[in-house]
Amino acid sequence: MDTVSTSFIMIYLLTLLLIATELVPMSVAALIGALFALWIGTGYGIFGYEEALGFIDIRLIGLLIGTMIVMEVAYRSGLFRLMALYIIRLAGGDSYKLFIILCIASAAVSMFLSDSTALLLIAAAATTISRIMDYDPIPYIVSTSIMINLGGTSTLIGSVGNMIIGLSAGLSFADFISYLTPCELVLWVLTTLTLCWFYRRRLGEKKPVPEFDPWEGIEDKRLLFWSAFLLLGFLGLFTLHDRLNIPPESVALGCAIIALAISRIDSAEIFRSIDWDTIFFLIGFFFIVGGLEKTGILKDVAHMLIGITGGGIFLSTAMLWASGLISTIVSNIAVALTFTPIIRDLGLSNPLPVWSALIFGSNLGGAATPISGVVTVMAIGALKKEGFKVSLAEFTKAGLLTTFTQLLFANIYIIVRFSL
Amino acid sequence: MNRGSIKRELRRRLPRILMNVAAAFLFWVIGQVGPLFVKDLPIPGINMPPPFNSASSIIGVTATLIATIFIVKAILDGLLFVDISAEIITRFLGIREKKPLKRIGRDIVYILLALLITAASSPILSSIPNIGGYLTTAISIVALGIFLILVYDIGKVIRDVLRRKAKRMADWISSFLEERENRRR
Repeated sequence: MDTVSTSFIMIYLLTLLLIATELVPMSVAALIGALFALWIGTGYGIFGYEEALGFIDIRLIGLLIGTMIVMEVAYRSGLFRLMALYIIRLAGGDSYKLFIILCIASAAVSMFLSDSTALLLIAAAATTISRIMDYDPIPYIVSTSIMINLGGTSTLIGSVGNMIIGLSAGLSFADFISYLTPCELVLWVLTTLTLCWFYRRRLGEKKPVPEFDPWEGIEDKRLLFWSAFLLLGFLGLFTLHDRLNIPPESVALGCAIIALAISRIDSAEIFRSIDWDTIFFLIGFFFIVGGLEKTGILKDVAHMLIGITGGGIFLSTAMLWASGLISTIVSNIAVALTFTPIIRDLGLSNPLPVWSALIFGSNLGGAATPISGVVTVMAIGALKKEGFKVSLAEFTKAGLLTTFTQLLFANIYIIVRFSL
Repeated sequence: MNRGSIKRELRRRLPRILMNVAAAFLFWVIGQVGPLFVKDLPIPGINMPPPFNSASSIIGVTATLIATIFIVKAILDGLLFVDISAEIITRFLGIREKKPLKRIGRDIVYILLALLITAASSPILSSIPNIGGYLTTAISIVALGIFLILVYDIGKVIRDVLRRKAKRMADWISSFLEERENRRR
């Protein structure tokens, strides 16, 4: 290994360590890594500035920004809150029913909303209800964070990791539904039942639900209906984008422009609510992974993977568990960005099982421990704000139990779905 | 360690270090020069195979051993100052964590940063005419210095953790034995 390759490995490790030690925010860590990658890459003649600019996947950034704008407008219209409140009313005071409905609703909402927005929404509803019903909020919040992480696995826009993998693998919204949804639905039920069993003694007793009007907080009904209509159109176009020959980022950006036009909300306010930290993290990480790719390190890793597993279903299994276990510690965006070029370098005739394994692995590992992902950190923060302290051990027990169950079932699904 | 105690330690240890280094130097000189005066002179009564029975080798080996002892004593006294300077440098770099894992993480971050800055600036510095080579060497030496100090800091953190664990274990064993003794009575 030469100086440049070693330097790029050091840049990669430095970025991950900067994030893990919380020395700087996630985006700044990636930008520091990008600075070194550019400095060393151009200094040693590995790539030029023009070539380096090509490392940034502008399509992904477009898809991400577009989706964030559409969801932000829908969120501000109160549409998701309304849905959550109707769900709570549906439970009718039965703690088990409420728990199951909350779990499934969390997963369903996070299919379209970003994990952090979904958690804000569901956690607010769950804490309000547990306060009204005098339930312990810990099982509800911990479980919703796990389910939100799971729900994000299902669609192309469910998580940033999925967008990275989807665009790189050429998987459409419909492909995600067709390849992953059967497994996802079983995982939703399996995880909900596991969590139900885990928290069986802490869910509370059946009580009558106090009267409340779900429509009470809606300020602009016109915006709510428009948002609902736009969201349906957005999802419809996403489902059909490959048949209509419209790239997903065009769908997202187009719908975002329409959303901005119809919402009458100050566009500057919407732009401020975009998750710039994630976007700059992505931009920085693109340079680091681009540099690793240019030095040939990722190709070596790909060859090593083929050598160890011999390809086939063992490769998919290795990819699932490796990405799953790594993303319990490292951000799943970083895992997706690192493994995507490796899978491309594998040169497989049918890479679909490996792509599916990466989607499952990088997403499912995100809720194994309290520090595995943003959603788990936010869940603990939400509980702290309510005056409840969840121990690291308790969260890890629930997280590891469900993550292991999910990865195991996903592994069986991949074997059955792609090798029979 | 506060400023007063650093001064006190400095006053106590510095003369000792200087004396030990001087003594080590003296014995090293004796080890080098002494054998020349007693060349090929055998010492009766020392039943060692040649050349270890000659006066020159015995003087050489003995003087070197004594010089080594003085050097070790000087190093042992000097280690405290290494500790202090490592603490000052790590604080200057902003590493103030008390939690061992986080502190080790930050130490590694700074090690990687020092090495990467050196690697990245080498092509730029070496292209400067006349002084480029010297600048590259200078920055490499600085990076190596930071590397050594931070690795030493990692070692210190690990040692402290092990010491704490060993103490806890010793306490546990002693309380267990005491309890057993009490039960027997």
